[in-house]
Amino acid sequence: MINVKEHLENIFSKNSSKVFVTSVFSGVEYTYDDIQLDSLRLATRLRLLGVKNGDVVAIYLSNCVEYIIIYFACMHVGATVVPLNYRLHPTEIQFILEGAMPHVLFRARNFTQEFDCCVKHTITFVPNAKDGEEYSFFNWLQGIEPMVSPFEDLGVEDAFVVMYTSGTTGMPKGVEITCGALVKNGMVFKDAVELSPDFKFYNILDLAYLGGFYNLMLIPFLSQASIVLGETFDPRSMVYFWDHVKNHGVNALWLVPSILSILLAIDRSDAAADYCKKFMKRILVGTAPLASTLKEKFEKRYNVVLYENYGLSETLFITTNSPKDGKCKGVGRVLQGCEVVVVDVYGAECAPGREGEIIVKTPYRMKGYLGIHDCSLGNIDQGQDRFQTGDWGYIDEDGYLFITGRTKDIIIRGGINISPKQIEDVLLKHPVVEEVAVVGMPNDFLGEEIIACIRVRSVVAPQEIIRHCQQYLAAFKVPAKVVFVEQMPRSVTGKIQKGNLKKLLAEG
Amino acid sequence: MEIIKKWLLDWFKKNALIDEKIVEASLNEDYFEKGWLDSFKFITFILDIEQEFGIRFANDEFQNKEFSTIAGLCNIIASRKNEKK
Repeated sequence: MINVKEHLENIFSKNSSKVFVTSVFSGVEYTYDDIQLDSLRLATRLRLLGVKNGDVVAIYLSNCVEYIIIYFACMHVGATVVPLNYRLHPTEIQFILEGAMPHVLFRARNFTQEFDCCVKHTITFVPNAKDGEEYSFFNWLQGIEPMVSPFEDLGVEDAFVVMYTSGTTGMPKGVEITCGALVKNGMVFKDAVELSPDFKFYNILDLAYLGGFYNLMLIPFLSQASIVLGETFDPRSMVYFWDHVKNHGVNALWLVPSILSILLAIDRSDAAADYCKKFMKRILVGTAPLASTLKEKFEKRYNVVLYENYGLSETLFITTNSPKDGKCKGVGRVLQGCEVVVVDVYGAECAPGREGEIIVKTPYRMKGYLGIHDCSLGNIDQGQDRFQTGDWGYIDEDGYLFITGRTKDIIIRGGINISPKQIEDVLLKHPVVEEVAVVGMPNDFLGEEIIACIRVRSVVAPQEIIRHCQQYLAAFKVPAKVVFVEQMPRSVTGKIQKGNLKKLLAEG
Repeated sequence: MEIIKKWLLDWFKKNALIDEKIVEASLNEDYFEKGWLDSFKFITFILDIEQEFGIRFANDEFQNKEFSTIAGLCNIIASRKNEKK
C-alpha cells in the first residue's frame, strides 16, 4: 500500500537536480528542487495569508510554470485547488467562484474581467515573467524562507482539486478529486503504459483541466520524468507545435483526437515524421473518441503507435492500451484495481461482444460533486459503489473495452465536454425562440460540432441567434450552425428525440 | 489584390460571423489576438484559401507575422499567385 505523502516527497528528493519543467515561454529550466523550493515558499506565503487545511485556492491563469508551483504549494498546506478555465464565459466563472468561495485567487494581470465574489486575497502577476521582472510572481516569493514541510498538511483523502466539467444539467459541476486517488491511479496508469524517467512530455493542454494538470504534469512527475510546458493548443501555438517538440527533445505526447486532426491538416513537411520515427517513444490519446480512420492516418504519417485510453473526471483512468500487450484495441484493458461491467437496459451484465452501458467500480473515484452531498445523482449506485459512465460499449473476448456511443446527453467538442442543456437554456432566453434542441454532429477536426435546431415564433437571421449566444456563452460553446425547423421529432411521450434529429441533420 | 481582399472579408463575414466593416477596419491587426478564429476555424480558413487560390502554404509561411493579419495575408497570397504565373 503506497504512502502517498512519502512517495511524493521521495520523488522530489531523488530527483533534486533533474530538470522537471522547461518553460517554452521563458526558456528557463526548473529542476525538481526549484519547483519544490518555490512551492514551499509559496506554501509559507499561503499560511501567512491564513490559508488552512480545506481552504480553497482558485487559479485564473493561462499555462505557466507558476501554475504548477501553486498546485504543489496547495498540496503542502492541504488547500483545495479550484482551477478556472480562462476561456469560460464570465458568468460561468462567477458561478464557480460563488460556489467555491476561495480564500485566495491567483490571477493573470492581463485577465481584466472583474468578479463579484468574496475572495479574501487576490494575487495578480504576469505569468511567465522571470524573477526580477516587473509583476513577476517570483518577486513575491523573494526572501521567504520555507516554514512548511513538504506535504505537511496534505489530506490524502480530502478533496485536493475541484475540476469543473459540463454535465447534463446545464451549469458546470465541480468534481472533487482527492490527492490519494490521483497518485494511486497515476501510478497504476504510468506502469501500464510503461512511462519512465527518460520520458519528456510536451504539455499543451490547459492546466485548468485534468488533461493539463494530471495527464501532462502529475503523471510525468510520478514517473520522475520531465515536461516542456507550452501554451494551450490554439491557432497561434499550433503552427509552432513540431518546432517546440524538436527543439526541446520531446519524446512523448498526450494528445486529444482534435489535435491529431489539426496537426495532420497543417503539417506540410516530412521533418516532424522523420523526428517521430527516430525519437518519439510514446503517444497517448484520450478525452474523446478516436476514429479508427484518424488513428490509422496519424500512425502512418508519423510512424508512431497511438495508445488510446479511457477515463472520466469522476473516475480518473479506467482503461488503457499498453505497449506490453503488443497490440492496441479499442480503449484498452481495465487498469489494476478497477472493474468494468457492461449492462443492458435491465441492468444485467452483457456477454463479451454485446453492447450496453459501461459501469465502473474503482477505488480512484471522485469524492463527490462540490456542494452536492447526496450521491444518488443517477450516476452513482451507492449500494454497489458503481459509477454509471453514461457511455455505451462492449468488452471483447480478450478483455478490451470498445466505446460505441453515449447514453448521456453531452457533446464532446475538441476533447471538452459541453452541456447541450446549458446552450438550450441560453437559446430559450431569446424572445423569438419557441423550442430548441442542441446536438453534436460529427466533425473531422473537433470530433463533434455544436448544432442548434430551433423552432421560432417569427423570422430571425441565424447571425442574430449566434450573436445572442455570444453574449452568454464561452466562445467554444457557441453553436457552429443554427438550423430552423418546423417541428422536432418526438417520442410517444412528447420528448424530443435527439437521435432522430441527428439522423435528419445528417441526411441534410 | 482587391479580389483577394474581398474574398477574405467575405470569408470572415460568413464563417467567423464578423461584420465586414469591423474586418475592414482591422486589416493590419492580428486576427488571432482578436479571437476571431479558433483552431478549427483556422484550419478551415487555410484550406479554403488554398482551394480558392490554387496554392499550398508551407509550414514556415504559417509562422510569418504577415500571416496573422488580413493585409499581410493578401500580400502572401498575391505573391504566391504571381509565382505560379
